[in-house]
Amino acid sequence: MSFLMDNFNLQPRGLGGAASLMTEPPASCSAMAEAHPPYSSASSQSRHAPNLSHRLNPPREAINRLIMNYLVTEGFKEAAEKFQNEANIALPNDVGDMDNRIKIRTAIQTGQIRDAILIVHQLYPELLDDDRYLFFHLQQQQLIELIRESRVEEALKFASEQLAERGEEDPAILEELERTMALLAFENPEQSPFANLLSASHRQKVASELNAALLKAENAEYSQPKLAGLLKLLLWSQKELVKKGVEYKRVLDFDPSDPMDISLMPKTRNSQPQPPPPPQQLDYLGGPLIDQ
Amino acid sequence: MVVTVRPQEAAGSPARESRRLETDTSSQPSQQLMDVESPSGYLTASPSPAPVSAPMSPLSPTLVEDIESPDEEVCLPAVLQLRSRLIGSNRQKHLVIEQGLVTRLLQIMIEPKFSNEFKIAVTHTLGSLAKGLDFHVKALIDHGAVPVLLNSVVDTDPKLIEASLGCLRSIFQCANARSEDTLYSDPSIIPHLIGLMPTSVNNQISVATILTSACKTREHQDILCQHGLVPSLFQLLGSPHSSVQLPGLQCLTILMFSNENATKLVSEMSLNDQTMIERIETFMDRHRKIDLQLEASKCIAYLYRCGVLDESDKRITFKALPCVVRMTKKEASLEHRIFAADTLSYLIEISAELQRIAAISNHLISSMASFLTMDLSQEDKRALRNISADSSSHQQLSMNRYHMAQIKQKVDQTTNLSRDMKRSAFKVYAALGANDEEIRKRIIDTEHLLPCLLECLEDSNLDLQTAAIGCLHSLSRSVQLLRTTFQDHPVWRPLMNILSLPTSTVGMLIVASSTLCNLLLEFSPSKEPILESGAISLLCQLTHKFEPALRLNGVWALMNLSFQADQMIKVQIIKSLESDQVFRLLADQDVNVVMKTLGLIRNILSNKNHIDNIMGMDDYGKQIMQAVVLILESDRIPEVKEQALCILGHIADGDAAKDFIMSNEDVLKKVISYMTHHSTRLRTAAVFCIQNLIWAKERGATERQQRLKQMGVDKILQQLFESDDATLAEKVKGALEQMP
Repeated sequence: MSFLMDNFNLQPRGLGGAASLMTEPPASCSAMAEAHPPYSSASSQSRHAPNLSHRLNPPREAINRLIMNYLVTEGFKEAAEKFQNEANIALPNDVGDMDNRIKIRTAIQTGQIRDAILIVHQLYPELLDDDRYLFFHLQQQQLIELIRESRVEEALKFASEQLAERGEEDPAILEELERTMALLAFENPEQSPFANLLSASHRQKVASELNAALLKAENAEYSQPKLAGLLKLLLWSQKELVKKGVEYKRVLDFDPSDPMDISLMPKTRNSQPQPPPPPQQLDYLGGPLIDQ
Repeated sequence: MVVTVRPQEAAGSPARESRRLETDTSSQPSQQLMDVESPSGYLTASPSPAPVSAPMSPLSPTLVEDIESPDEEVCLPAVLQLRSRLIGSNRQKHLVIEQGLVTRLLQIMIEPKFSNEFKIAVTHTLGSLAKGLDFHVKALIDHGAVPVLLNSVVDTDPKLIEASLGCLRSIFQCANARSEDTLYSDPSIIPHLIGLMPTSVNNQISVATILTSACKTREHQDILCQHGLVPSLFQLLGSPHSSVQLPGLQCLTILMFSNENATKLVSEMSLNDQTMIERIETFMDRHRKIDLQLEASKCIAYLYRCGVLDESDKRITFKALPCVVRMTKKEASLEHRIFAADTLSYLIEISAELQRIAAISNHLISSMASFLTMDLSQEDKRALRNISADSSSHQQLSMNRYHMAQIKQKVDQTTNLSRDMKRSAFKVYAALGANDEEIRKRIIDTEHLLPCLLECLEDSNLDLQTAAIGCLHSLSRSVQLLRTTFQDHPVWRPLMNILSLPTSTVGMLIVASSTLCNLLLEFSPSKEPILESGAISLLCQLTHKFEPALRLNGVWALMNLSFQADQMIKVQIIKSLESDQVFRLLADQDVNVVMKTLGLIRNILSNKNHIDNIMGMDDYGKQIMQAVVLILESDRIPEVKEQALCILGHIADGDAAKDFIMSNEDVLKKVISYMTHHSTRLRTAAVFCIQNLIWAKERGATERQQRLKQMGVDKILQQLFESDDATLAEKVKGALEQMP
């Protein structure tokens, strides 16, 4: 949520502060419900073009529905229920399914990846067999948690027994695996070029990926929040406008190459954004992982 | 790089032994390898860049023991643990199968005393095994998993049914499963499966997927239709979930393929004022998922090809056709592009109008060109090399079977993809260029097309080879291409090779020989080299084939070959074909074969000198006369008899050859009688023959005219002079001029 506000230049009102929302679902969303729609708020600082945004003013109700869709899809049940009261908007029917998703999301956000995997095995026995890439991300997060807790021996054992197979099957996975293992090479992994793996937002990213897969397994038509699609569309439109040399007022300004931005992740302010590691740094890690 | 492996014996070692290893080393995982391996167990790198190999630790013997336990309370937790190990790991699946646990799991499924909860856990475990490599699925089938699971499907517990159907779906989805016979072995299975569809969303998906994979023959289609699958699928298409709609459409498509009964059923079906075809149509809307749009387009294509829809139907011209053309673009995924191209070629294959509409697209031909340049990535090439490296490395025994299968499956997938793309492109080009010279010109401008085509004509994959021949066949219909491109690229060489190989399928032979017919046209530069490489005996062999199309193409090609040919070639054909075979061909049930055989004889008997020489060869003249009489006395259609009369006309064009007719009163009478036949074409042909016989400036003309006058020919000619038919009238006028 903080991300949204940053970019729409909205000041959070009635919220306990954006920082508290970073790793957990917001307790109250009244600010969003009351906030001015983003397009009109941006109009005060028109930079590029005559202001046409009054024509694009979306009704507040639509915005509220988008927010509700986001909360339900991402599995923020408590927030959804609060929002239901504050914005006077009905909860969608299938909220009952949210309980399991919340249980799993909570487990991941608190670093209990193994537990999360076991619940998924129990409830959706086919899911992680069908989506091996997602399974790798869960196991990768499990590895990250071991490294975070400095359980090096266990991390090595886990990597060689469970993750090496994934790396063999898919070179893309191997590369991701090598980046993760690289954390072990640093005295203080939090200062390493790969520190972003240890960030809370990385847990969020895995949780969202799993959440989308669970929705799909329940035959939901949309596994992504509509807001995410809308943002992608907006970014694409802006890019097209730039390409065609049309002057216009930018509504959104952030780096679309960072997938974290597009998937509506709350940004943490604790970790400074790290520049991507230069590729030659990987060379000395090119050896076999299990023999380290 | 250091690679560690464990020899085969360790994986299959006795339970006690491996338990010791596990307990010994579990606390010190990094040393585990050292302890169990002899020093030589640490291998220095194999020459190939092998992937990072982790040790394949065997299942814990306690776990195995617990699974074997007859006590559910012991066994169930063990099975749950096993399931967690299996999910997502092909290697673990491999171990479980190697250790023979499948038999035990299946035993549990059929043991009445065990609870359903237990059986569901076992079913999920089997389901996970079914998501392994292809040969893991095969192992499951070989252990008899399909009948056991079908047995659970008739249970009363909906959860067990759902789990069993899910597992069956995974098994049937494997392309090499081939276990559909089990489904049809008991007539009650299919109706039961169809009856389960409405019970849950997952069951809808599972049953539709199973039946899609199990519908392999016309017979299967009919059985499924009889049991009311069509209305059940209609229900699926009405589902709000696209995850249900897609398998529903897929099942419907396979049910309708080239099956008039099924398509008729579908066209007559309607629900709540909406026909089934209208429902299918809605899935082609642009807001639908791509898979749905493509699958629905395929449905429409099948409906059209079975005659339910007309080629000008808006659902074809405005929806299905644009959809599949659009999806061949580079922006789409490879799988979608192949699917779209295959549907497109099938859709337009027999309609010149649809071919014309498809060719309006400005990107189609270049999109197809990009299909041809798809090749294996560098990495896959390396993996391919590694297969051979792996198999030569004895130290990697334990991993060998698993690794080989794993790499092979992956490489197979990529090579299949690249091959499928070429195959699809050739089929589209073949369909597009079937009728229109302009389109053919645009196709031939495609870069790399001809070299790629030549290469694929010799590919080991029959499907790709067949598609390549088809494409060549379409292109060979262009006179211009025959004169230019086909001279620069010796396409005839692989073609001749295909025709002489015993491995070639009938379908390949038919299209290849059709193409050869075109390459042997008189003006084709390829004609000479083809002749030199032994075409005549090859074509004569074709005329002996069982399939009428092959006999036809054989004779057709010989006919083209003999057109305005040197006498030497004609004599070669006569000797090679042998007169017995000529008579057999003239008695062929296929009238086209008879027509082309007569055409061949006409071509052989052209050019005055050739006629006299060839008619004078041994018994040949006599045999030809017999053949002609045979045809004239038969009850063949006028078109055939016309050809026979024309042969007589050709003979009458010779000098010495004229005697064959003049000396044969019987034949003369026949020709004269055809002058008054009710068929104009036969009258014309007979007059043509007479005209040649009475040609004035030739030696002996007066005698022949005299003789024919005696037989009343002049009077008949006078009568025919009144004819309305222009051609006939002209011929009669010409003949009368010859007669004083």
